[in-house]
Amino acid sequence: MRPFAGWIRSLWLKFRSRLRSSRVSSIRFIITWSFSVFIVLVLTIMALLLHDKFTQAAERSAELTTRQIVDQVSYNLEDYVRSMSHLYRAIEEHMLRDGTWEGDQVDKQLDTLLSSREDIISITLLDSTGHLLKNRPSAELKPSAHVTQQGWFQSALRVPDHLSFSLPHIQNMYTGPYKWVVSMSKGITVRQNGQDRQVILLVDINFKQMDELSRRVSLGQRGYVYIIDESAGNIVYHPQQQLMYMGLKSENIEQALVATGSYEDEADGQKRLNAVKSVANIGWKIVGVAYLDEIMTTRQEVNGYLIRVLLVVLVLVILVSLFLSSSLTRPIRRMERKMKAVERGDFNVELPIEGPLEVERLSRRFNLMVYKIRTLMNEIIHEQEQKRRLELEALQAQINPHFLYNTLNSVVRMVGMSRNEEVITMITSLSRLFRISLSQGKTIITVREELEHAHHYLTIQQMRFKRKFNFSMKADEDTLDCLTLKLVLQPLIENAIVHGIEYHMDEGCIEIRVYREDDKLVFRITDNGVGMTEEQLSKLLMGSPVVKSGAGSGVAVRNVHDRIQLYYGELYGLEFESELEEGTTVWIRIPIQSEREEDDAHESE
Amino acid sequence: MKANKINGTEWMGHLVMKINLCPRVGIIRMRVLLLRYMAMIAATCCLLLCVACGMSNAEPAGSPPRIALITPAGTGELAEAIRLGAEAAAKEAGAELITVEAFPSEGLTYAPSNPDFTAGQGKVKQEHLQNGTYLLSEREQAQVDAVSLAMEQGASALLIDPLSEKALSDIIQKAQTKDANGVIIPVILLNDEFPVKGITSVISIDNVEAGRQAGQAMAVLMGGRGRVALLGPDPVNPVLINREQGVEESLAQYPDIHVEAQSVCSTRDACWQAAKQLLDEQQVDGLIALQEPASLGAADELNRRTSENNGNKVKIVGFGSEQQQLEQLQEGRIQHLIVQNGFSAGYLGVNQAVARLNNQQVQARVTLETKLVSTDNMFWMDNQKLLFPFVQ
Repeated sequence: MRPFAGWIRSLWLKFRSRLRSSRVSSIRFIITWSFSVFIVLVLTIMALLLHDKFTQAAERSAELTTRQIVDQVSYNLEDYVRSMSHLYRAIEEHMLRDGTWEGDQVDKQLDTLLSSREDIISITLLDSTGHLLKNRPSAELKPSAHVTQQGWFQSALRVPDHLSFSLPHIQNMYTGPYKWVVSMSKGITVRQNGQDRQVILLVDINFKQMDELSRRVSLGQRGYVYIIDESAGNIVYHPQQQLMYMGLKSENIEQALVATGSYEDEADGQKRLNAVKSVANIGWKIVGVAYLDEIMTTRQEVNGYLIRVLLVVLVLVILVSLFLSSSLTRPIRRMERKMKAVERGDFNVELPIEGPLEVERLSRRFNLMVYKIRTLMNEIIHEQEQKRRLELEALQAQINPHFLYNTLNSVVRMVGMSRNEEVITMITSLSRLFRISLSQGKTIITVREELEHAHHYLTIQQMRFKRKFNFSMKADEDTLDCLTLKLVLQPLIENAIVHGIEYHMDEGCIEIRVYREDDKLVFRITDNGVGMTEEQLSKLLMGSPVVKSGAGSGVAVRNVHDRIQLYYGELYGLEFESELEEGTTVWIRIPIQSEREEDDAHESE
Repeated sequence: MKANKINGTEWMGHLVMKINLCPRVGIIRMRVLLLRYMAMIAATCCLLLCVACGMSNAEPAGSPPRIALITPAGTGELAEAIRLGAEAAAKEAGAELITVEAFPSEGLTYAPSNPDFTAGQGKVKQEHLQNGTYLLSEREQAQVDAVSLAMEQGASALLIDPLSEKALSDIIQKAQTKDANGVIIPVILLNDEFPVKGITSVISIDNVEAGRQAGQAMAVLMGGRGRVALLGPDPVNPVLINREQGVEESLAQYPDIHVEAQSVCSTRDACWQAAKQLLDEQQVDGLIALQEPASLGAADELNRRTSENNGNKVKIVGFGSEQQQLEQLQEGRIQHLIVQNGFSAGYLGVNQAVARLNNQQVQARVTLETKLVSTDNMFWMDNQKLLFPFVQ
């Protein structure tokens, strides 16, 4: 069980990963298919509802139509039967008015009647034994017809004074073509010569009229009307009477006999709708038969139509959603390509700002981002170059040959004057100075080292300038282990000496103070020299040399400021305050960084 | 590094401010795009719907198969009954029936005085023995031509009662070779049997059985003893040969019935003469007329004899249900008629054709029942419908 579950699981995972990697999980696919499925679903439901409604309506109307047609046929037949009854009465009146049927007058009248109605085949008057009394058109009665055995004769005898209609049958009393007739017969009692005499008046009407009345009816393509005799269930008329006789067809007459209104039945595996209507006076029943599958044909047509529409819509929806999704995914893919290019290091790409709003925004952001990266890259390159240059310059400032030359000159002079003590001090200071300057190529050193470096520098200068100035250094204990950019003090001290003190009459005094100010480390260099004008002050940080003459120039000061800002940011740097003849104060502000922090930072880099 | 980050953020803020101006342009462009999409979709929709509607309209609901009935397909009223049956079946199966006249009946030597009497067409078949306007070969040709005409009119099945074996083989050859689509047009034979290959189906009565029925009826009429003569056999026509065979088979069971001479004749007048000669020469108790004119000729002779000297009781058993035969039957001149149902023949013929066209199973031979009708039962309701198929 367990391996099986594992197997299933691995299979599922494989499937999912396949799914993930394939196009199935793409936006395009999701949009296309969810769209299509949704719309097709909606359409299908609508089609089903519509179809249902339509079918019901069609069935109802089919039933109604069938019934209406049957009613119509029935009215027509009734009408026909009624008119025939009238005719019969007219014939009866003309023929038997005076109890006699002889005479030209009667003949003439009957002939008129006959000629007016072409569907009357013959008028025959018989006595109760079947002997011919009179007929019109006059012809010989065939003895082989056996009139007394015929249905109409017997029913006329059975119920006298009642007009009875026979079933359609072949008239075989006269020579000539055999015709299908419906016989109207009635037993009439005629008073003749004071005696009652029973005669039978027979009027044969051509069945063709009724046949055509029923034949012309069409109920759909294959539907038809048939007529049955209500009393015995004999078929009076059926379009496929021959087939029924041959046993090739059958009709469910029992059901039609008892039914009223309409009912459904099944014949030869086909459902049919039957509408029934009785015809008054004649005792017949009309049954209209409509095939339900023809009604269903409309249903099938509707089905087919709906399916076609559905297919078309499906194709349409797929096309539209493909178009839609591709219009969405195309910019995304384009973006992907561009991103890949960026990944490879090509920052000079740009997305065209087009497509849907979101994509447009995204493209804009992307372009912004790439632009920013590009600028940052440029900036970094620029800064790095500058840094290198400044450091080189700082180094150069450090190993200022002028300074070295002056110092060595002083040393030589001191040696000449045998001031060995001072020579030792000077050389020692110089060597220490250079050691810290180089400091294994590090750019960051502790405040302690920086101060030591400044101290040595000041010592050497003090000796050179024959103790023209004093200096004092004071640093708070907690600042000594802080880190600082290398050689920030020396250019400022040099500046103070060269510009502040050298030309000063009084004994100069340089004070260096290191302390914390909030989260900043501050070096303050104060001298009591000549000071600077506002103009000079402002120029100092602009980078242009303040004084053309002399060893030091403002460039060194500017260099310090730039280095600090480059390294620590614009919040930091130099600040000057100066008053002519009073002196100058310079504040160097850098962030407080302990040695440990700096190590971490280096490690993380 | 930190300084750079700060720098960047500010710079971005600046740009974002710039961007804020853009959405209006974007919305407008979006709207234009949307409009374009919608227009495109709408256009495609319309187009496809039109196509769909067109499809539904243009799509034929399967054009009905066209079945040709080559007339005259039989003789007289039988032919009419066949046509009616074929029409009924065609209507029921949703097929189209076309009738092609091989040769006009008006052009024949015998024109019926009353159009309702179509019995005259019965003469057509036997006419070649007389001097008719149309020779047999001409009529055969006419029938073959009618088949060509039917095929030109797009008939996909043929119902035919061929004149002769030769005509039939020509027709079948035509039906099998002419078709360009590689589909053989099925030929369905009505009321005839010829030993020709390639016939799809034969709708016919069992003539041997019909002959047996006739012989049996005659035997019963004569009470099992007497002399019987056959009138109107034809040594060429397979139908008549079979009838004759059936009659002989059934009469052979009655040792007291002797089958006398056979009189070959094929028209009413010829058969009348033949019957006259026969009755003059021999004492005959019963006549079995194998074809319609023979029974009429025999009836004529008997009528003549009856009017001359009463008491001549010769029984006649015939085949067919022509108007005049029925009149003679009603009068009792002819005692029995073996009747076949032409309506069924036409109906089943079309049914078979439709079945064949729909690739359903087809019966190679459909045997129709025959019915023995006598003077007494001819006006029974069922028989009326059989004998008088049309409302006149």
